[in-house]
Amino acid sequence: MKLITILALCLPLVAFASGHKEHPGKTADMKEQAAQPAGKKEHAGKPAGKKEHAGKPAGKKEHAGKPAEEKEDAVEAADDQKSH
Amino acid sequence: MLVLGLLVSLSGGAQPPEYYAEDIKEAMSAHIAKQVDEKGIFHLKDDRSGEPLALKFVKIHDPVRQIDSDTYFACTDFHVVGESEKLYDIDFWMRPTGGKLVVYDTKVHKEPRRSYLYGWYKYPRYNFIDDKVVPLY
Repeated sequence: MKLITILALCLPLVAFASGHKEHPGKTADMKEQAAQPAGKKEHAGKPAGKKEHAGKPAGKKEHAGKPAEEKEDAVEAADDQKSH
Repeated sequence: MLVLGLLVSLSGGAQPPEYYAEDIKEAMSAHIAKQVDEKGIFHLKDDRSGEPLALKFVKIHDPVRQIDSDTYFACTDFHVVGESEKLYDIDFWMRPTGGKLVVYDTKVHKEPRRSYLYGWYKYPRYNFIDDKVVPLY
């Protein structure tokens, strides 16, 4: 019985090696595949990770930029330099 | 230029229409529906033994196949009426006729046989070499 089982298992291998096939031809195309050639995608890239808002939260500041130098002080400093 | 375009379109028009997996399955379903009797029994004369078979359709095997530009193929399972474990594997060949696929050949690929070890199984009668049927015995 064991020998028969081994032979039965070997038979498909022998058949395959000698060019036998279970079915003829090639797999028929699906309509969807044919309409959309391989490699083509409706949209480029991959879906982006969802975030509610773009970027990272900015450090909160009440006003933009850094405090500007006061004009008055700047003029005074210039006058001091002139007098020396 | 116009003549060249006409020649190209004429040569292109000779190409056979393309049929897809869905068309093959649709043609198979139509064929089976047309062949079955009022009880849904598919009658087929065994192409080797000549025995009349009364079968119930089970399924079309995936994938269905294309042999060449105008030959298509489907492999199916049918069971003997009242004996759901006794399965026949039946092959169908189709070609385009009048704008649709029509079955033109049917063969019993595997017949039900019983083994004490495995129970009922499908025993093949042939394989294919270069898409041609080659009997196994």
